Amino acid sequence: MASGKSGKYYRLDGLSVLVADDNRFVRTILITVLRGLGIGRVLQAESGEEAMAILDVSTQIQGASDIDIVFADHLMAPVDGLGLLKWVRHHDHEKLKFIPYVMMSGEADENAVRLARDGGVTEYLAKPMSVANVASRLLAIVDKPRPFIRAPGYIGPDRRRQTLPYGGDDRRVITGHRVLLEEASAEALPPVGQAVPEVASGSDGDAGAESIPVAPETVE
Amino acid sequence: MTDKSPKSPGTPPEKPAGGKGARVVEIIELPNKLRAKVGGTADGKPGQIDPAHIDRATRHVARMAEAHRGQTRIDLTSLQAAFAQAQRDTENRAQHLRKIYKISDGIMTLGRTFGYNLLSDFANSMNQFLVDPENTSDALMTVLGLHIDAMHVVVRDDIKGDGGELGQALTKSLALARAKLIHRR
Repeated sequence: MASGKSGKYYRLDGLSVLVADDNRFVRTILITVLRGLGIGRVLQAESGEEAMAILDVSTQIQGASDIDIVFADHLMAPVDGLGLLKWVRHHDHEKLKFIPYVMMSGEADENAVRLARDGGVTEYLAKPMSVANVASRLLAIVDKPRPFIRAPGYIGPDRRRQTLPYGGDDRRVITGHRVLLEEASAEALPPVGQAVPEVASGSDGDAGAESIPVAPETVE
Repeated sequence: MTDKSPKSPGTPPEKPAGGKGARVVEIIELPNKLRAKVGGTADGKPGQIDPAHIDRATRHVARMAEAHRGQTRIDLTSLQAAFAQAQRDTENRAQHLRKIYKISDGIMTLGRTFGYNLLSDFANSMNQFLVDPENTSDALMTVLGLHIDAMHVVVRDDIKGDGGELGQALTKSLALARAKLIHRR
């Protein structure tokens, strides 16, 4: 197709989604939307804690019972959507650590959006809710996955979504290496939030930090 | 120089380049299991959600319109009660304002979903002032009260879309009230 789309309709009935929202009516409407769109299995949690329990159990179940995507509201108490997100991203189990996570929030709190991004959110569902914006988030997760970044202070999808040209040198002083999931080493980095050790100089005596080769340069 | 292209599985990651002081970033390529699960094509081109399913979801949501009206009335009653408490109980005002924020967030989330655009707009505008509930004033309380009153009008008169002349008048007067509050700050 000229549009670059395959034209194929996705079959969503094999997907399993967890909805975490302490507002019962909002939760009901989101579940209605997801089921209407054809999602095969929708689980619900009425709090962040209940979501943690359901996700924990899911790590112990193999195969079809996996939860594929989490939709969580930002404003929950005592564990809010951000707390749940951090718990997910720091979970030992890969099933959870890399799970696509959609944060639902209004635009009022810009800082919440920033915190969610830096907490490793996959997509943001801006309220008010609509069938169209829920569908677009699902498509984004399926069609536009980003590699995961594991860095001191951050674990989550690559926060750079666009590639834009810019002049000058890349000023970031980080060194990256790209690995497949099975090669990712849990020991390669200190836990998130801990001090970053210096990397020893290479045998060639190169003392300069190298930038990730991202040309054409990318920006957030 | 680091290698940006993914290596074949089983190949150990090369030692990251960089000298003393360099920070290590691991870029993990995840297999796109979801795409395979939903039947995505091998060429990687994006697919679509069946428009019939989008219509179905829209119809199912529309069937809940009456439930939404009922829920909104309940929410507005709770909102009014929380607001009254916030006015009375100044010592714990922040706590009451957090409750108002939460209730209003629910109203904002679904107003537009059911065609009550002004409900979402007014709730959203009000929430801008509730992000920091510690920072309150009498003027803020007045502005909050005006927004809650306007939401009551929207529900009472079943005002959908932009609300025509009445809707525009409400929108303008609330914008003016917010502007005055911001100016005072």
